[in-house]
Amino acid sequence: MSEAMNLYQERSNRIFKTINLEQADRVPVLGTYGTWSAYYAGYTPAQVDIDLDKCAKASVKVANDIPVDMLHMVSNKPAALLQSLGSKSYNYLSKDNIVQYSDEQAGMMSEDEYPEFNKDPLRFIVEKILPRKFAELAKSSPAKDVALARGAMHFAIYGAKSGGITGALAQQGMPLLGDGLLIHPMDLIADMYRGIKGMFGDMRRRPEEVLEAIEALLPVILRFGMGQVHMVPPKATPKVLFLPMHLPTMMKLADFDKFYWPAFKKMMDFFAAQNVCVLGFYEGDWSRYYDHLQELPAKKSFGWFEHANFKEIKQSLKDTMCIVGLFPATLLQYGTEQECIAKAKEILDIMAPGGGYIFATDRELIAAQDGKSENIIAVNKFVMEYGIY
Amino acid sequence: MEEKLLISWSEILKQHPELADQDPAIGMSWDMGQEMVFSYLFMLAIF
Repeated sequence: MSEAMNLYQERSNRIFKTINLEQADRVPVLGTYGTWSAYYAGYTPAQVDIDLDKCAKASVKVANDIPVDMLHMVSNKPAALLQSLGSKSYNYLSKDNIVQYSDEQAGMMSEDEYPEFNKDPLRFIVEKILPRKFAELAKSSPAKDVALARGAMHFAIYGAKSGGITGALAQQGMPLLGDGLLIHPMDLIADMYRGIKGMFGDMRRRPEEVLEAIEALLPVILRFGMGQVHMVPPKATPKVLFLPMHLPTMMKLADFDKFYWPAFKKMMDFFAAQNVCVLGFYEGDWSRYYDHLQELPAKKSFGWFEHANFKEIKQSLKDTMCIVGLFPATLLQYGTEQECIAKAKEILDIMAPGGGYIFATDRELIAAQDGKSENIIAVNKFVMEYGIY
Repeated sequence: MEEKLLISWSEILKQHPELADQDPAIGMSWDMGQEMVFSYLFMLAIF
């Protein structure tokens, strides 16, 4: 086995042993550098979205320069696909910037369309939502048919290029954590079709229709997850799907119990049964939901947490899931090297004993100023030495 | 009867319950071309 493959195996084993709540040789370090990687390599996020070869170069540069055990995912959006279909949601105003998302486009479904959506969500999406989201798909045939085919070509190229980036990283001995993306049905409806404001109104005015929509969309999302799992080449370790969540920390507990939790629990149980490991991104402060999270299948998922009391989260979830994150990204931006290392030590002293903790920032780094590279490198080196068991 | 766009995952599992316990790492036996069309359409739905 080559040196790079040995390194790949060693890093991967360290991460997955920790996910399995075992104590590895040391605390693993996960790179969560998102579109920051593009700036670090001298590009803009728009440039790496448009030219995936640049994305590959940026990813490999991060893998070679920054001491990490694994990168959480390669961060880019399929610009060619979005542009070729005339996306109204994502706009590339300039190659010198980042893609802009227009929340104005979040309300693509009116409140009286729930019954039609609930009858067959996939059909509604294809026939109603897509022409509203993409200008080219609103044209009449054959223009829209050609556009859909052109988009499919870009989708295939995007998939192939993304696979190439994974391969290029593997040649450097660097594994990638994420194999695909999931979204909770309620987050999808709120983010993309009804808007956050619309969804909170719907919960009050038409709760039964919202519940029906969540239930109708759930099998479609499970299928989307499994499709990604099967398109990724076989691995020795479980496949990982990334699940960012948006609404829960804005919801009342009673609404969370009624609308969000049942579908979330079904999703987590389903993928656990398929031996697919879900990385939930628990945005904000989830401490009031720790009792719920204890009901998830033990060792079958892991959680990337943003804000938490270190002792409380360790005590509450140590038998259920591996904890990722917690290191404040703002410190990498504004703190000194010494302040960053002191915070890392504080976290490790509580979270590291017994295993089950992966060191990472509390959120993905997005802008160039989100982290000074010298701080990131110093902290990661410290964790790799101080975190030895 | 209305033409179906794609067969749903739940219907596939109803017809082939043996797939529910299959290890995903070794791949599945259903039509991967259809799954790619589904993934393409749904990716457009979430972007």
